[in-house]
Amino acid sequence: MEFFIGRILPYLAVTCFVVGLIYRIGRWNSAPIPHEQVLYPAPETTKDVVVEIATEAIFFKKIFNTDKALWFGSWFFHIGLFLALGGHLVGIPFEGKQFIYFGTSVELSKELSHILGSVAGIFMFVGLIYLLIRRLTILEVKKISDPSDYFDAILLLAIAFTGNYMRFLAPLEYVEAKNFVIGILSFSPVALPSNGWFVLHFTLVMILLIYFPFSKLFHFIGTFYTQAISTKIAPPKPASLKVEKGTSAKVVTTQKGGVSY
Amino acid sequence: MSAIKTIIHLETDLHPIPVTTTEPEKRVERTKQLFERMKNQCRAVVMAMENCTKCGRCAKECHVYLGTGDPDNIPAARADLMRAVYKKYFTAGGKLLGSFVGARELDDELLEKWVNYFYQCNECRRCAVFCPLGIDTAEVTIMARQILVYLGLVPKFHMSIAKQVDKTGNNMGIPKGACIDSCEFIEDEIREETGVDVKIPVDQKAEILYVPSSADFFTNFDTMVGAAKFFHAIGANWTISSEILEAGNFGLFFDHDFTMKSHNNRLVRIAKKLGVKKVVQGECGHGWRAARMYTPSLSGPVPFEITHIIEEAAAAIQRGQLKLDPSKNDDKIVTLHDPCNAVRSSNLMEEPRIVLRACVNNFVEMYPNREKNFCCGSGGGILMEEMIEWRKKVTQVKRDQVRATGANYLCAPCSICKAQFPVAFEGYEKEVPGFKIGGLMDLVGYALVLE
Repeated sequence: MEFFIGRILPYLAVTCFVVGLIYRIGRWNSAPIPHEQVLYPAPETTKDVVVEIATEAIFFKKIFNTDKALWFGSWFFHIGLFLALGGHLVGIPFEGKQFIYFGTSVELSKELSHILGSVAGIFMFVGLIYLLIRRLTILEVKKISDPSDYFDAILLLAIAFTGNYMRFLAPLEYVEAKNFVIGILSFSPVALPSNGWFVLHFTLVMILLIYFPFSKLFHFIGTFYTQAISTKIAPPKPASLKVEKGTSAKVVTTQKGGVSY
Repeated sequence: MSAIKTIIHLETDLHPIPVTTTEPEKRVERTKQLFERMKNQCRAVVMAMENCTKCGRCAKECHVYLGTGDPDNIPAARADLMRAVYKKYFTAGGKLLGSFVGARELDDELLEKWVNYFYQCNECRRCAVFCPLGIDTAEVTIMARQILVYLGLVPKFHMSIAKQVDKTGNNMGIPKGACIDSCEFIEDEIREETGVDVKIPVDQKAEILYVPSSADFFTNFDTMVGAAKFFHAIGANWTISSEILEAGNFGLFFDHDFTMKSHNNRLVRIAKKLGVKKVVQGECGHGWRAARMYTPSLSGPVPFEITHIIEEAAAAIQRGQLKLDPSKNDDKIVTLHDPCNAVRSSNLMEEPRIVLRACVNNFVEMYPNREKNFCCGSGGGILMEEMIEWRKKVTQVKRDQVRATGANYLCAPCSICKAQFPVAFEGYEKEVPGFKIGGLMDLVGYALVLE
């Protein structure tokens, strides 16, 4: 079992993830956009398009404006996940000492690393809990959910939980994780660290990577494809409609009815 | 599935659409083949199939779900009717994990749901405005309906319009003689009212081809009057064509491949024949979208401009070309309903407001408005008699919106909205005496001072 988890599973998982990613993106690319499908109001310059899509991707603008509770769960989970990923990529190779390059002492760097990691883990966990509760309790969301939608949330929750458990209750030295990862990357795997929570955390992440291509989880890339179909520069207005005086077509609305949805 | 149980009435004679009806026992197999071929033709559909995270944000933004309370009318659930099939046959996840990821075998029951639920979508794209991932369920509906066309499952109502357009070039089936009579009648009316000779040229060589909605010759008479007065006021060299008295293009709703394409080609052919420099579309939401957005991809580059009469009116107002007396409309408190295809899909957003502010003194915005406005409840061509009760249900939201404004004139610059609202607002005159539903060019016509 240890042989499988430590020496085979990582390669299997990464291969599966990468091949799946390439396949899915290839499929998206091969379908054309046959007609003009812009959704107004449309951005006017390429810069506006990039800003529009980027703010949506980073801040989840649409749900922030329309559904604060969903935004809370979703944004905190995603930002937590993003921070945690970054933390793994930096914290493990530098053993938590990355901030000394910004002038901190080794102790302070490790402390900062620990705080950031804790914040990320808690954001992820709390966000996911809310999203799961939401899926179970809101009638409409429950109706459209498939078993896999619950599975996605629970798998990610388990990963966040085991990660947090290690951070707070069963610490693992950075160097142990580092040596293990270096072993895998250099194709000479070493033994798994003895920390059982690490083995569990690691195994769950490998399962996630394998499961990824078969799930909706590639939406983090797909969203750019989808947005780009309708968030784009609109075809120009016919020249004869130009108004000489330079009068702007923008009208500010002051009066408003009272009903809101 | 020999006989499909549907809420809409289906047509068996598909002429002029060149497809042969599929025998009931072969429908499921044929649907799979069609879906497999067509999914590779539209990225918006592929992304809708693969990218939905089932967050449910769309549910409360869909007036059809709000009005019917039927969970299958949640946009994500509606798309799921296709997504389940897509997963089952075209994705590794669905093949391996089946119903765990929501994959489902296509059978007669599911196909029946396709007919029933894709013909309960108004294709208004409001859910696309609110979807955090930008998924456009209207595109899914359009593809589903196109597949149903190939199977020979088309509503009687849509088919009757396709037949009329094929025969006469307009939805109402107005022949040339009646068109000329109507125009003379309108000219007389305007002369009586204003003492000015306003001409409506028919089938003339001109600079501008005006394409009205054929309903403007029947129920929405004042819209045609307003348009005629407007062209007279700006001194335009214009004409209408008895061969294309129809801005609307029902093909957009259910059949891009034949009905939409042939109507669009007809427009281009006639515009070229008359040698016009510009085609001006009348008050029709989806027709405007079809002409403006789809002409390049359906008919290629064209030697004329395509504009909307409201854009023309707004430009004329900004240039100071029109003499308007808004006090003529002082008996009205006007609110504007933004037709979905006009506002979300083809940018008639600020222009109607420029025109309204110049033509009326009492204009109240309804809320939500512009791209967030709710559909009238008949988008996608759901105007059939058998859907009347349904149409009333899904317009509850709209009634609340209008009620909150206190308006007595509901300005809806779209023929489908104008046809739907008398049904939706049945009995509303008791609440608001003198309540009227009309177009925007109507108001321009009332306010225009002709010389």
